Amino acid sequence: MKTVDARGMLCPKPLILTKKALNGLAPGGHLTVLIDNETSKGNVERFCRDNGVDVSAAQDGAVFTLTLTKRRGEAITVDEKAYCGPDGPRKPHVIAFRGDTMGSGPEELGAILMKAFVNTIKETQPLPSHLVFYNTGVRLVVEGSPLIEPLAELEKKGIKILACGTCLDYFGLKAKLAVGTVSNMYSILETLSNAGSVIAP
Amino acid sequence: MNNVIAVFESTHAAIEGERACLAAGIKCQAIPLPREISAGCGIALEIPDSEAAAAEALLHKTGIAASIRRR
Repeated sequence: MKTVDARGMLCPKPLILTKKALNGLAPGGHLTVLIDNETSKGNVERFCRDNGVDVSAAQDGAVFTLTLTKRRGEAITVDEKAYCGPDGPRKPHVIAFRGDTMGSGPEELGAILMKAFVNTIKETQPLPSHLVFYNTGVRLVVEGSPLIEPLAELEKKGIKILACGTCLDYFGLKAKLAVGTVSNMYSILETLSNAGSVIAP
Repeated sequence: MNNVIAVFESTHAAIEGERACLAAGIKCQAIPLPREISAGCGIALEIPDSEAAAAEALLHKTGIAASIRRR
């Protein structure tokens, strides 16, 4: 079995060596990592767990022996250095469209603000992972919405668009969905609770 | 696609301008006023280059306070 000896090394070195060694393994392959500080050990464990690698740890005095098993075939491309902090990389945010206007107030103002808001998303970094539309928000993702084009562009960039099925049904718009996928309360709640943060314009 | 930006003197003018363009079949998208433009209200319209002349004429005709800028 291959061994990465990261004793005496500080973050991000153990992460860099571990990622490199993992990417040289076939799926199902094993790797041993020796580390002698607890912070690096925690970082390597989190890095592995997030990237489809099983980890078991044993401690002998000041030295931790991590036994890794690679589960996926594809190479790990995430930035391992992002795992140096105690919280790992920031989870992406999610935007919840609770209605078809931005804020509440005069309809025409809320409507034009919402258009400008959606047209700005593509210019912001980092991009959100999901856009979730519910209640009158679903009007933004159906035929006739002025925002189909910019939303389809965002979807092409890999942003997932979820539309509340109950809401589409309520408004009789189920057959008119023009961008995104019909979703239910389970995935909507799961998406919101897994978000790094939620923005509700 | 090259676009021009219609900048308005007030939010009301921007809302009216968008309404007029859409009613006339001119493609436009409401966007926040680009940071490099300091004059005007916070909402601007992005209009395809090919429709810029039509939009400018329309806004002028309807008396909506706007100026067309090239990016």
